[in-house]
Amino acid sequence: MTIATKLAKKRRSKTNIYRPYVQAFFFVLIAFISINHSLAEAGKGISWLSSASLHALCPFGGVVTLYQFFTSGTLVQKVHDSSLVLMVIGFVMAIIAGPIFCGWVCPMGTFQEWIGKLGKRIFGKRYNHMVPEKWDKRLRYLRYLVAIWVVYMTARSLSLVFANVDPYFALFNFWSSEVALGGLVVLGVTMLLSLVVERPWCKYACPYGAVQGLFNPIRLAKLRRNNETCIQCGACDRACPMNIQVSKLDVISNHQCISCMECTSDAACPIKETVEFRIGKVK
Amino acid sequence: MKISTRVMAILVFALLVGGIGLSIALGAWSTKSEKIPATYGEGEAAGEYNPADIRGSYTFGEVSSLFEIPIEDLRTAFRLPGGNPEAVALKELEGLYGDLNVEIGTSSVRLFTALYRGLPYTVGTEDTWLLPEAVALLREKAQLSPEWVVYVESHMAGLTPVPQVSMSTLTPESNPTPTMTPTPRKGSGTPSASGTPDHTKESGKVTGQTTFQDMLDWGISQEAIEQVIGESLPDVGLVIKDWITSKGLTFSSYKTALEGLYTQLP
Repeated sequence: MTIATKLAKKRRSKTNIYRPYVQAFFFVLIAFISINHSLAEAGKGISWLSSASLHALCPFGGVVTLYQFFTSGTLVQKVHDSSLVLMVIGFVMAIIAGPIFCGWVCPMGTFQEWIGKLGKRIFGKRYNHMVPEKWDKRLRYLRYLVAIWVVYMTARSLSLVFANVDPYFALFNFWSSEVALGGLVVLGVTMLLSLVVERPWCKYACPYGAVQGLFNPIRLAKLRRNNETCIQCGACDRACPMNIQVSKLDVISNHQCISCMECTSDAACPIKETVEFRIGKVK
Repeated sequence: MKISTRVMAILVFALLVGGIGLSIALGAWSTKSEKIPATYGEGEAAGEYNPADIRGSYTFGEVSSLFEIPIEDLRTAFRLPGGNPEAVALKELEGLYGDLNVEIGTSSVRLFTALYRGLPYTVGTEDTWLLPEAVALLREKAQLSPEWVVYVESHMAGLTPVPQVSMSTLTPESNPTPTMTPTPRKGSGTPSASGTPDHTKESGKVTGQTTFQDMLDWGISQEAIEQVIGESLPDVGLVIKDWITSKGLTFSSYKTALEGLYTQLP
């Protein structure tokens, strides 16, 4: 057994200890707000908790309403000012460190990760490696088509067309009559796929993830790998939920990176100061 | 400068909480709609509110105010309860008419508003349905193009029994005074509990909701009806349109002849 392998095994259990708590916090928060929204509509809402609709708390709503906002000064149906604010915050986050929203905040991503834990138990090492590479590579660009379609159709119809297939809305409103059958179907398919692929919705279909991913090449904080200290153990590759080959790159600017930091020396990488988020170059 | 996972966690909260807090301070944070529809950008209606942008969160009072449609007409068109129709939200319609095999909802209000006001409108990929009262009002008050006449006549929600709407089916917020009794079914020949004139009876219009009994109630004889339909009168409770279409016949051709019987009445 090589030193590298020993180190990798020693550190294998180490994960990003903060992220799960941050994710759980936002998942629970959104769930409570969504439930309170339904309660408020029935006149039984909790007064100290926000009863905003889920559309008001989705930054992608801000993206799809931009065309209407600039052409008529109004927002697409069901989208509110708060969506625009969250969109701006999401973009600021992305400019600083990439899709932090995807990796740390988005409850849909968190939900898929939780199901993925079950998938890992069932399929072991095969988990997240079952889609043929040829197909996987092509499918990764599907989300850009989805994003273009959603933005175009929203601008054309003046309505939130994506709500009809949005698994995020379905997840937090499955008890409500507002959920479209399409949303429930997409949610169900996403849940099933999450048992074999990590974050399938994020990888292949999420239009907001597509927009966020565009910031990776220009984000201020770069995810860098120090080739001089790297022992090529591959721990970073195995830890990446998006299947990025971190060990083969010096600067990770892949459009699929979600800034989860699972590959860094704070988590999977067994060698200090080897894979890090940095503003500026590695020492 | 290194960004550790701990710093990233703090950064996430700082940006979200700070950003939302700043927007609240600047008055830019709102999770409710402004309820100002988009306007037409071009054409004859440029600058006017676009009914296509009417949202489910709007109340009928707001639609009435924004599009200058008398609330009484909206109440009639959508069979709203008489107590406080202004407070009924459009999204409650789907619940009220959930028993129909077609959807009467926000899209119905959009279509009705556009046609009532004579504004440009494009029906989406899914059919939009109206209640017979709404169609009757449009025929009476709006200038419909022949295409729209065909559309609304063929999109009347009347193929299944219409649910009786009472105030108790609305949410508490829109139901401050639950004193209304159920509204009788259209075409029953008696005035509704809210005092709404029965347009079908008054005008003698045969719509997708009219029954043979309605025609008898108008004073038309059984023989006259039988002459038009060419056979003995079936169960008088049957909806005429349903009966005609079940025979594989065209409703519109019989509709004119049946309405002619009413005009011939002394």
